[in-house]
Amino acid sequence: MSYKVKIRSSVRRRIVAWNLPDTVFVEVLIRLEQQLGQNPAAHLVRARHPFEGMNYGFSLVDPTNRLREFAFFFHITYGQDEQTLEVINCAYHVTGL
Amino acid sequence: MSENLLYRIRSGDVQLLEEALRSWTANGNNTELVLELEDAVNLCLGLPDDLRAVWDATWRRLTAYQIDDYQKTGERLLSLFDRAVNVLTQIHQRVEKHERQGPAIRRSGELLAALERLQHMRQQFMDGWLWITPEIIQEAREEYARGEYQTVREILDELQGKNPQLRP
Repeated sequence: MSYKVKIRSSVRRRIVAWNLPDTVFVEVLIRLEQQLGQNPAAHLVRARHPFEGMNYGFSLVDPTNRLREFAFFFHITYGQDEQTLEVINCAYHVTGL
Repeated sequence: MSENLLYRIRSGDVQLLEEALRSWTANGNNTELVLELEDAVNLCLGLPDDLRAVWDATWRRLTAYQIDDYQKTGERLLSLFDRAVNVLTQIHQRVEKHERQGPAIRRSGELLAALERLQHMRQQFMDGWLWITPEIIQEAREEYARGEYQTVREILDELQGKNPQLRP
């Protein structure tokens, strides 16, 4: 069963403010939809304190600079309809600068 | 474990600099003070790279799901950035004061650039860390309840020009 992944407006604004390269930004969205949304049970890790929800993280190598890597991490909850996943917050980090 | 080895080492470096600042007398102009200031400047110039390494190490633990409390870990690292910015600022001021009365301190001209880099990194950390508090969780619930969200599919369609009305 696949899930729709929702991103609240303020989280979207946060991601946009990171000024990611277009290809990386799109890849983040594709990962959320195709990897997480298609099989959340395989990719979510339970979190306990202080956030009672799930975590999802992954890394991407910068296609324009193979020495640079972007890491992303998301707090996720299941929606009340049990057909959606809601992004609560997100974080990113660049290594190899 | 949120306080990794690098964190503890660099926290110790910052603490040594804080203690050194307190130990220097107001009008010290002797050779020992000059040597201490030079050592302090060298240590300060390494702080941006050193704290970058701590930040990288913390993220490696985050993505390996080895951090339990994201908020506390973030607050600790932010506090280390703040202490480092503060100590670098004070040492810069102390060196400037010393140089007005005595000999120049080696590499002191690089301090300001190091301070600016550290301040920039601190802001980047603030903007990029995975903050999570009861307030953020409540804000998220309210935002979803108000319908202030998009699905990832809608955003992808928007980027591909399929739903131009969704563009901000």
